[in-house]
Amino acid sequence: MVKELEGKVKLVIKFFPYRYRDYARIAAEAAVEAWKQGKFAEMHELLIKNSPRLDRESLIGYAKELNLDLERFIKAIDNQEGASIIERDLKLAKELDLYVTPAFYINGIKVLGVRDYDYFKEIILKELQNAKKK
Amino acid sequence: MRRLSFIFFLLFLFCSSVLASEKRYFIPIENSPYIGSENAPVTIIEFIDYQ
Repeated sequence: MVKELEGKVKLVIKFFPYRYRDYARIAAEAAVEAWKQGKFAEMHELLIKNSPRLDRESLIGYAKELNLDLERFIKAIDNQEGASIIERDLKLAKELDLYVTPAFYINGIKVLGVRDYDYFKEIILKELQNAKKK
Repeated sequence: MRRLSFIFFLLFLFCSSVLASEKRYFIPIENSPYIGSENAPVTIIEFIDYQ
C-alpha cells in the first residue's frame, strides 16, 4: 500500500512483541539492527513474509540474504542491543492501552486489528483530501 | 426554566458533536524506523508483532 501511494504515505513502525511468543522479541531485535544498518524496509518485509519462521538461525539467514554485517548483526540480537527502542515502544503501547496487534494510527485515528485494504484506503484518501484543503 | 432547558439542550448538542468526531491520538515518532517518504501528508503508525 505504501508503494502504491508513493510519496503520500509514511509508515512508521513501533515494536510490540508479545511477551509469551518465543521469537517475537528476537525478531524485533533483528528489525532494529537491520534499521541501524540501513536495511529496515527489506528486513521488515522478510520478517512478515517468513513469519513465524523467526528463530535465531532463520533471522541470521535473512540478515545474510540482505548482505548485512553478520558479525554486528549476531552481536546485536544476542545482546539485545535494540532493547531501549523496543522497551520504549512497549511502554508507549501500554500507555495507549493497546493489547492487540496489529494496531494502526492513521494521522492519529486508531484502527485495531487486521482490516482489508479498502478499509485503510478509504481513511487514507479522506486524509489526503483533508490535507489538500489546508 | 424554559431558558435553562434550552441552554442544556445546546450544551447537549455541542457535546454530542464533539464525541461524534473521531478522536485523534498523538504518537511520538522520533527515532523510529519508517517506510515511505519522510514528509508524506499521511502518517500511518503500526504497532507490530512479527511472530
